[in-house]
Amino acid sequence: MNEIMEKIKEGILDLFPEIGEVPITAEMCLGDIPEYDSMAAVNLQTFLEENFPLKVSLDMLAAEMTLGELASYIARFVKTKP
Amino acid sequence: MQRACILSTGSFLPEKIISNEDLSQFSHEARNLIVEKTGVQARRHADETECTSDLAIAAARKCLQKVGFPPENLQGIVLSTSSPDRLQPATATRVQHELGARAAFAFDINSVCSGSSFGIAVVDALIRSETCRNILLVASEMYSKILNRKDFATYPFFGDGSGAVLFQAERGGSRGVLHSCLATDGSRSDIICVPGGGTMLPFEKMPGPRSAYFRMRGEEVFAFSLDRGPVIIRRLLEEAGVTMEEVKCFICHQANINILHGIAGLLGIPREKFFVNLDRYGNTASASVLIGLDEAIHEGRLMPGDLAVIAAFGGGLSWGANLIRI
Repeated sequence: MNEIMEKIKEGILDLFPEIGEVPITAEMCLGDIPEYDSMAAVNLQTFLEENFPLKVSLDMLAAEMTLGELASYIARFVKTKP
Repeated sequence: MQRACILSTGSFLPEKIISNEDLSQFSHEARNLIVEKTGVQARRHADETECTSDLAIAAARKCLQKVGFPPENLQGIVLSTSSPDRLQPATATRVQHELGARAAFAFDINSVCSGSSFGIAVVDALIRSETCRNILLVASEMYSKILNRKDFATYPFFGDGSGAVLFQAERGGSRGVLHSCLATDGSRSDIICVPGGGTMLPFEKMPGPRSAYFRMRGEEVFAFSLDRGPVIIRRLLEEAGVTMEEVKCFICHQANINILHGIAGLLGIPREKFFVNLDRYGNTASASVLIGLDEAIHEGRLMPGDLAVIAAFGGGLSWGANLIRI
C-alpha cells in the first residue's frame, strides 16, 4: 500500500509540477491538485495504466477522489491479479 | 496610397494522417473525448526528417507557381512561426535561400497562434509605407515536434501545416488589406508557453525534458478566446465601417470547434459563415488562418470582391483581426 502511494505521489509530482510545496497526502482530493481538469485526468489515467496492471476509468479519477481511495482501489486490483 | 492586395495563396499539409484512433498512447475512452472537446478527428504530422522551413517552402512554391511569380522578383519574406527550425537564425532565411529569392529580405515573427494576423498587419504596413511592392507572408508550424506525446491536454489537438499569401501593392481600387486590429495581454504570458530552451530557462537548468515541451492551460485559453475573439472582430468592423452582414467569410484560428461556435453565437453570425478545417488538420497554430484562407478561396467560399475577416488568438496572450477584400 505504501509503495502504491509513493508511486502515485511520484506520478503527481511529474505530471503536475505546479503543485510546488502543496503536501501530497492520502486525504488530498484530485481536485486539490492545481490545474486538475478533465484533460489532466487522462494524463493521470495514462500514468496509472502504465505503472500498474489495471485499467482505470476516467470516472474513477473525478475531482472528489482522494489519493488514499485511489491507492486502495489499485491495491485491491493488484492483490486479486494472479 | 498603395494597398497590400492578395495576388496568390498556397498551403501545404504533410501526407501523414494521424487519426484519433492512431493515438494509442491514450485510452480508448480518452480518444473518444477528442472530437467532443475540440472537433478534431485527424491531424497531419510531418516526416521525422522534415523541419518547419520544409513545410514553408512547399506552401510558398505552390503560392508562387499558381500565378507564375518568379521567386527572384520577391522583395520580402515574412514568416510566422512559433515552432522554428532553430532558435536562430530566422526560419525565413532558409526559405529565402531555397526559393531562390535572392533579392528578398527575410525575417520571422512569433505571436504564437495569432502570428498570421500580426503578420498580415506587418506586411500591410511595409507595403503601405512603400518599403517594398511585394511580400510573401508564410506561416509554418510543426507542433508535432514540440509536444509531449503523452500530454492529452495538447498532443491530440495540434497538427502540422503551412500557408502562404503573396501580397502585392496596388494603387486605387477597393481590394486588399483594409484594416487590422492587434492586441496583447502580457500579464498572462505563462498560460501558453514552451518554458525551456531560452534564456529564461536555459537547457542546463531545465528540471527535466517536460520543460522543453509546449504547454497551455486549456480552460483559461478557452475562456480567453471566447472573451476576446468577438471583441476584436467587433472592433475591427466598427473601425472599418463595415457590418457583420457584409462579411462573406470569417476565417478564425482553428483551435477548437466549440470556440468557433461560441464566437458565432456571441456575434449572432450563422455558423456556416465560419470556415472550418480543424476537423481534418487540428490546430495548426499560426498557419491555420492562412491555410483556411487558401482553402476558402480554392473552394469558392471567397471570390474576388468579397470581404473576409481573419481573426486569431493565442499565446502572449495575443489576439488580432484583419479585414481583407479579396
